[in-house]
Amino acid sequence: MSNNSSRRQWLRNTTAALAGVSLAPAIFATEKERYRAEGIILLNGNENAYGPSIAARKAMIEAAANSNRYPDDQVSALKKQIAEFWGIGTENILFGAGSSEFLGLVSLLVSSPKGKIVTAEPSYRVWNGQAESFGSGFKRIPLANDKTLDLSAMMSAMDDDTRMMYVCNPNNPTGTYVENHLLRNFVDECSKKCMVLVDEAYTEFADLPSLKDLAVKKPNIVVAKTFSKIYGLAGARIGYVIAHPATIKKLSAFQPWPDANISGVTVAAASAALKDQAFVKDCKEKAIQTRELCYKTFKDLSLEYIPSHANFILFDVGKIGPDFSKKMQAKNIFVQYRDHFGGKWCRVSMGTIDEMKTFCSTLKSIAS
Amino acid sequence: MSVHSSRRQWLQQSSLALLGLGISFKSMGNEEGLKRIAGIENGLINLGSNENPYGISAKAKQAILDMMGETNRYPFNVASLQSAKKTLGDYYKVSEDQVLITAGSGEGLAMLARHFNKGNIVTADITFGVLPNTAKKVGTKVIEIPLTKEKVHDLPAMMKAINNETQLVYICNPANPTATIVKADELKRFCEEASKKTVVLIDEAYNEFLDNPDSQSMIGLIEKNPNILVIKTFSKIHAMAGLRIGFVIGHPVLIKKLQPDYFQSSQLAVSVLSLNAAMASLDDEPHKLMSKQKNEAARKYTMDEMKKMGVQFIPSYTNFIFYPVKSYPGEYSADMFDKHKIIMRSNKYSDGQWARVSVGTIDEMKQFIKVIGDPKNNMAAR
Repeated sequence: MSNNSSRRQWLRNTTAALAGVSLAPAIFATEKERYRAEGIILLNGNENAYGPSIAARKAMIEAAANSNRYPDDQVSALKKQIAEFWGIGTENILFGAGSSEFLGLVSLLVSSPKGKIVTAEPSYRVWNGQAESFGSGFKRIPLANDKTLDLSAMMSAMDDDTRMMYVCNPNNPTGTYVENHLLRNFVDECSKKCMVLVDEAYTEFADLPSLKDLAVKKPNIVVAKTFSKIYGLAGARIGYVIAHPATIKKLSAFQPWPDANISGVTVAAASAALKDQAFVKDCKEKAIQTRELCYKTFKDLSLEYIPSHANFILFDVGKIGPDFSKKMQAKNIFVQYRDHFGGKWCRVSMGTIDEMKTFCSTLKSIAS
Repeated sequence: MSVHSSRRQWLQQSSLALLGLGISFKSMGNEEGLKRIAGIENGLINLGSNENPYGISAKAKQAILDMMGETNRYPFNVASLQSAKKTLGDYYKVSEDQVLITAGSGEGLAMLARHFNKGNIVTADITFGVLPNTAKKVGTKVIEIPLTKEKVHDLPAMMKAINNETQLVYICNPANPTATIVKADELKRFCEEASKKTVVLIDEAYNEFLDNPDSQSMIGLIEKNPNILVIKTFSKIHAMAGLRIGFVIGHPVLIKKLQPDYFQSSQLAVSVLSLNAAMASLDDEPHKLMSKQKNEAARKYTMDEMKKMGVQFIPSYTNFIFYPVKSYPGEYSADMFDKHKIIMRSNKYSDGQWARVSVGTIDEMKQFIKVIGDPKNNMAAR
């Protein structure tokens, strides 16, 4: 079957399933979407500006008409696909509405008896409030001088009161990473004393191997993965954990039924996205290109930045002044602006190459 | 009957059963094939999960397609979705800070069971399983009050069961799996009284299948009774079981308390496509009416035929029918699937085995009636 005829066939099948609706916005809209205000550039959520891929879109369109049915059988198929992808068992996988569901549920799991969670500072913390609502406190360990996780300091921070160790590698918001063998030993060691939650949201951007093989063996290690980043599906809300079956069972006990919270359309998108590794490779290369583009601008402006291995860069905007974020927003550019290392820093997510060119020229006009 | 256990069991069994039908996994290509196999054109009928067989509305489909390009964005970054809670609030005449959107009402129930994890929870026995089952798993005592002989919530007995340790009372109305209702005025009095002592949660998943659903809803009580919560879903009348979207309505103070242990923000729980579809479907009255009327017709047909055959059942107010199969010797739903290609539920309770069949399309129900009506099949066990 030639490409053209298979495309026609797909359109015919799909149109039959979706009689009376317009496919145009789903397939043909790309950079400029009808729901985004004209000219707005979103560089605040570490999303993938190139997602969802065409393959994912087609899969979602096909799945949409089945939305009246619970997606149990499609979930099982995706679990099998992911198990094969990682060379692990289906009993080692549990799906959630984004990996954030599990940052919450693992926090809940370790909240009794009450104790402390060790994490880096700065690191990803959207879930921290949830953990606090479950009664846990935090020990925040500053990054090392090179802005990577200070593993020995984090290890020293553990005591009898420690319930969980959280590591995000590459780390958000710095984009730095510690070498795999160092992290692996660290995680293995920590897991003898408490739960270790390894957040692998950005590993694909840095070609880092997963610690999944440790996680499937040790009940105290949970690896969190997401389709929100390089797979370009943040809005579809799907992530999963890789863990020992006993741990999977404990986490699934908190769910209405195992894997309950993901939409059938989302499952279809994730399945297609996982198969489309060419898209993943392309997005990784684009992230490298856009990072280089930004580095050059930061250098030109003598702004300090942290070389990143993810789809975002943290850079020092202290000298631009307190209304940096407001000035960027006035130019329709949204970034994350926070206090770090005793100063004001901006985390800028990598958008498309065009978006980053606009970001760089806007930054130049604001900074000079 | 745990909610999804029979569905999962079906999946486990299906490889064997499909071999029996002369269909192998190999000929299906992959497990995706299951989805195609499980269609009426192949003789398999899914009457197991109280889904709406008429599908999501054209407006909802269009909303999914329109939003597709934004699937790379977190819900908080999609401008048009920021008004979702307000849209829901406006529709139900409450403010947006009274709304918590969840990934299906199932997730809302699990979240509430995780939240109210001390003391005890009072529920009916039997009832929809997610809340009591999750409560038991997190170590909360569940006080289970038997239904009346007519399979209706025993409100006086539930009221009596509330004690100083009670955190939550859960009432599913219309009830699942029994398809019965308690009268609105009786339930209102119960809610007002019980909510002086504990939080009262009313699950209105099937409310829209009733005549005058608004007058049967407890949402109106929330303003004066801050301890009342109502949970609703887009899975049933809106036909969105696969999109995983539901919501909780309550007093702003209680909703605010629930918010922090739920993703920080419920905006992170639900797919942008599901949110957009739900907003498009919310006030699509013709589509809802179509689902309601077709369900009524298929339900009436099924109940009439069962009556003619002398098959006992609990009169249904929902899109499913609960009937006793006490004299059936085996596992009723397993045999319905293996021998008759109908996916449904059955379970053994203290008073024997009962079956629950979802109301599908009229054609599907004709097939169901044909199966139980054939004396050779012995599926009309009393």
